[in-house]
Amino acid sequence: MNKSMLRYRRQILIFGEESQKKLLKSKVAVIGAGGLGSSVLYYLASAGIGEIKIVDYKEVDMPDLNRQILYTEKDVGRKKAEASKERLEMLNSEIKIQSIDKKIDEKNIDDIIKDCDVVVDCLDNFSARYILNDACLRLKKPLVHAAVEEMRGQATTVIPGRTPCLRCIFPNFRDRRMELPILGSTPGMFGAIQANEVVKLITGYGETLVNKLLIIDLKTLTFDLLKIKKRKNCICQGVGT
Amino acid sequence: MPKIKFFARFKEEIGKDVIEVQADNISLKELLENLSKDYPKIKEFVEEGLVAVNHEVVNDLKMKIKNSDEIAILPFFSGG
Ligand SMILES: [Zn+2]
Repeated sequence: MNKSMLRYRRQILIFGEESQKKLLKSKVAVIGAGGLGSSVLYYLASAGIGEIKIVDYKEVDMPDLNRQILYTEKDVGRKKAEASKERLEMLNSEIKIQSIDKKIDEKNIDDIIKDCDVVVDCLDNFSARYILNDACLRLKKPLVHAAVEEMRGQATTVIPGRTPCLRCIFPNFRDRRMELPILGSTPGMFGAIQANEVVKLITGYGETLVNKLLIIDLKTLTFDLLKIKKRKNCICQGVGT
Repeated sequence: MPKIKFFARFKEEIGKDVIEVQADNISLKELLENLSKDYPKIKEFVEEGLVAVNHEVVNDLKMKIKNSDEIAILPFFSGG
């Protein structure tokens, strides 16, 4: 095993060197570098995803530090796009990290995700999630979703044409304009689930959350895996596989 | 009797895990409407959350409910 594969030795024991090469050749976009994004990005960078795009337009704020483990006290006030790239390059200097200091909208999103193999939803609101969902349907990109609050959250994987989309499951969510309560280990755990999904999608190893919605309540330790179906008249109905 | 289970915030707001109801050959929509007479919060939960029957998320409340059915009303989340 050559030196650059050495760092992946323990995971190569799971899925083999060919799968590791697939990861090293893949390109993944992580939309949002907050609580979920911190966890997803650490694990994707350490797993050797060859190229990672980080998209975030905000600056690091002191109350972010309870959960956004990519950042340190020294990063408060800095752009998340810049600070996260710097951090991840320290963790793995052999992969390519691109950071985009932009808020996603209908106009820029296609360009951001068009060359990616998988897109990860680490957003903190549903208005932006609908924009991302629709772009993934248009460009037929797998979308790994999670969202969290307090000690709870949900996750699913959308494969355009094959599974329900986010609008099928959450058809008319209106974002509340409030600061949501959240404990850092909750997005930590859900981000880890998302990173796991990305690796499984790229390598083909294991089973993914396709056509399933995972809901976890860490307060009571209740785990639910629900089946989900496409919604009649949803915009995703016309999407071929 | 169909069982209706509540999760997370909904369970805390209604103060119960499970409600059992008498329901014979009625739709899920009717069942939830009947139940919201005693538990007015249910209307809000259905609007804001997910309804699942036998561990499958339901997109259309017109489906008929059987005695053996287990209905779940769950909130979902939006933060990141
Ligand atoms: Zn849909």
